[in-house]
Amino acid sequence: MTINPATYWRRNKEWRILLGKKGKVLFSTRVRVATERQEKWAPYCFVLADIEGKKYEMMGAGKEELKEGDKIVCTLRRLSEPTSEGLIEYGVKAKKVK
Amino acid sequence: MNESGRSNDLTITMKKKRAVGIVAYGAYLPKFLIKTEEIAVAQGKNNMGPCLNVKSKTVADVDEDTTTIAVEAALQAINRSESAGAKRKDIEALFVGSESHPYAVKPTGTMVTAALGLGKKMAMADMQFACKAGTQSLQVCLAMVKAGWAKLGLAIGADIAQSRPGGALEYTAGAGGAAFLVGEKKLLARLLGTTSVASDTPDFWRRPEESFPQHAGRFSGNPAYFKHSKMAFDQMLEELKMKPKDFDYCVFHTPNGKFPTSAAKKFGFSKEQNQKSLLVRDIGNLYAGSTMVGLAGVLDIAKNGEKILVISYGSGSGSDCLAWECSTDLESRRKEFKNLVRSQISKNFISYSEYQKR
Amino acid sequence: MKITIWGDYITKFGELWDRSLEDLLKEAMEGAILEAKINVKEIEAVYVANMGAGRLDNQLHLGALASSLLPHYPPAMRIEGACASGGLAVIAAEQGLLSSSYQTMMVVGVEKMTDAKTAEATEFLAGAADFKREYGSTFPALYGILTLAHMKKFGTTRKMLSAVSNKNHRQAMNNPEAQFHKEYSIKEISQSQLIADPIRLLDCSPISDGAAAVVLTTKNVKGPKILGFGQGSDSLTLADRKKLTELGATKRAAMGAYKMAGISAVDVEMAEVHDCFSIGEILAIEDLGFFKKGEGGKATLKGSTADGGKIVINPSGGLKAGGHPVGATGVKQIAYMADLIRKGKVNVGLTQNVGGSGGTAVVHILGGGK
Repeated sequence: MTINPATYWRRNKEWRILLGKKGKVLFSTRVRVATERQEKWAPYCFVLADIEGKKYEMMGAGKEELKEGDKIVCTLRRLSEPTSEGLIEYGVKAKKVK
Repeated sequence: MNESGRSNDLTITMKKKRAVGIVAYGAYLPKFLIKTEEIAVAQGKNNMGPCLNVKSKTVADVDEDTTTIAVEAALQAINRSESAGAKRKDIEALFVGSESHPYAVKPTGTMVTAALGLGKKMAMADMQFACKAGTQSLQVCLAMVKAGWAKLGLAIGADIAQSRPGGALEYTAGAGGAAFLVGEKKLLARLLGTTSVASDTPDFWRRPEESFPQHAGRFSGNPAYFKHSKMAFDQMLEELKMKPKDFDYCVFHTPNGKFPTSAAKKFGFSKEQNQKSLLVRDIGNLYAGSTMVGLAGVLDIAKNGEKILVISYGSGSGSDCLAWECSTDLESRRKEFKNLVRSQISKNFISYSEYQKR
Repeated sequence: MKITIWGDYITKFGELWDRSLEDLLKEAMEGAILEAKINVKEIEAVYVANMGAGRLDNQLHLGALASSLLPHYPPAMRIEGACASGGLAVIAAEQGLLSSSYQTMMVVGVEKMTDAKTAEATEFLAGAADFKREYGSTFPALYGILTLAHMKKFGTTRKMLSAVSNKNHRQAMNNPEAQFHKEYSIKEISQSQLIADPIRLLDCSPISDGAAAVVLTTKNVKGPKILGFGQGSDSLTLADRKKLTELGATKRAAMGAYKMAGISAVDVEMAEVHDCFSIGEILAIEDLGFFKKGEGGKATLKGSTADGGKIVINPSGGLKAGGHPVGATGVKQIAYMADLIRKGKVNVGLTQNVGGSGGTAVVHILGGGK
């Protein structure tokens, strides 16, 4: 499965909105059984986070373990394992900061 | 004073008037490392780490790639430039140098510009020249700014270095990158001069369909790395009428921990001038990110007014030389910088099986 | 005008390799008509509930497909609301009946999911969330967050969650069409493989094939009656919910249903609720007003929701043990409750069907009628 060009293009304007913004993990669950797009990356975390007063749901960066209360920063990462020919999906994920 | 003497003064004055240099810089190292002894055990051979003088190397995460590394380094540079009053929309040139661009056709810079929210006016292309692609990007951005065609330029060297599992390169092929925002005002370091050399010397290459590069063994030494680095170095010092002792730091390309030390000695630098820039022992060879991160690492510790000579090397072969003088603002502005290069070298060592998954 | 469930049918739920989507549709539709003992041509319209046929079988236009299975090609349409598709299709039919557009209608819910690989099915189900704003989530992950919120606020424990599954597997032993006829101890459930912490394998309803159909009529006939129904909505994403410890959509749907039926929670004797994950049942019994907010887990552990307790929840085994062919579930709940009423086992029953992580909820109240 790969993202189609128009969808990719509408979404890439959203990266800059969150990139670099800091927040806090409200809830975090470790996804061990994933969909096809992220199958190779399980287990990864999926969090509900408070970022500058607004709530967002997003994946944790890499396979990082995120816990409730962790301070995070929004970082650009691949959102799914790309096919050899398709576009590469990038997006915002939550990375732990000290 | 004779004609040539007068024109010399004029040249120097003109050079000072059109000062161009580094407004801000950023670097990014992935937070995983693997020890060379761990690689040796997995390969089932003798540990090449000691003879390469490399203890460990950085490893990118499963969802990182050259784009994401470039963006992290660039964001750090941009955040640091805000105190100098630099505006994102004034970035009008963006060149990314790498050996691991995610696309063969579609520049890494396109994702970087989207992520950073840069303006429409933009000169951009991907650079490839093995490990000197980063410094070549830097030279091009400096030229664009000096020519007056870009108010600010952003040059990035980033890589997730590729190596065949079981091969010698596996010991050193790391991941990481650095970004330099170049302009004319509020400089952290002023460019004193730059020059480059190139020839057809096949010490290391990769065909498009291949995942891993080919390495020509010992041929990559004297005919390649040392010869081209020396040519660029000699050219630069002659143009600037300077000597090795005039510099406080030298930053060589670091394919391993031995070559740069050897080059420094051969070229007339002291151990002190070279050692402070060497990060390769801990982070490995970052390919197009190597010299760039090396320079960032030196700017992290240099004092006001100190001079830095950067001699990068790209297989195939070529070399870029860039000479810098640190400004009187460097130390004071640097006080606000967080996450300096050395602080990003984590102690998060992973096993070979975890490394294979990444 | 009263709506009677004239006939109903539930197929076996499970991994039905030899039955296609069409086979399941046919079986359920014919079964319901047979039980109603009516001429097939009495069916004036067919509404089909389904979530995945478009993606998994590349088959859309299910209304036409179902209509073609009847000799007179009645008007038909497909309704989708993720896992609430079944409940929504019944509501659509009720609106068709109460508006006097039709006198007798069939609603059939069907899903064929087990042919797909697990990763494919997981991705298909994730479509019930906000694909953009909840990217990278899986269903277990979203309900995992709901579970964490409930545990944090009310001290709901692992044991309480396991009690839901344990009870439903036990109760499914009495349901011949249930997917599973195997009991699990609380310990086994608590130690089963983690799917999306803290959700474990035995907290999760399975991937199932199956269909269920009901024939509804406003004609004056004998049979279980629909006393009331209600529908509620809430934000698609968890990030936009006002509270994570309740499903506002359920509360609103229940309010509508109780009002229409002229009853309240205390009058309900049995309920089929949406236990897609263990926490789903705990939230349901609180949001439907059977237990105080926060006490659902305790009540389940105590046995208050089993035979002999205050109210029997999921006598069919629920989604967990009964199976959860997504489009069929909402219709199956109503069919199962109608059967219990017909057998004289219950007078007032309730069904609750939820879509996604709570974006949609449908509540029906059924009663014995003369």
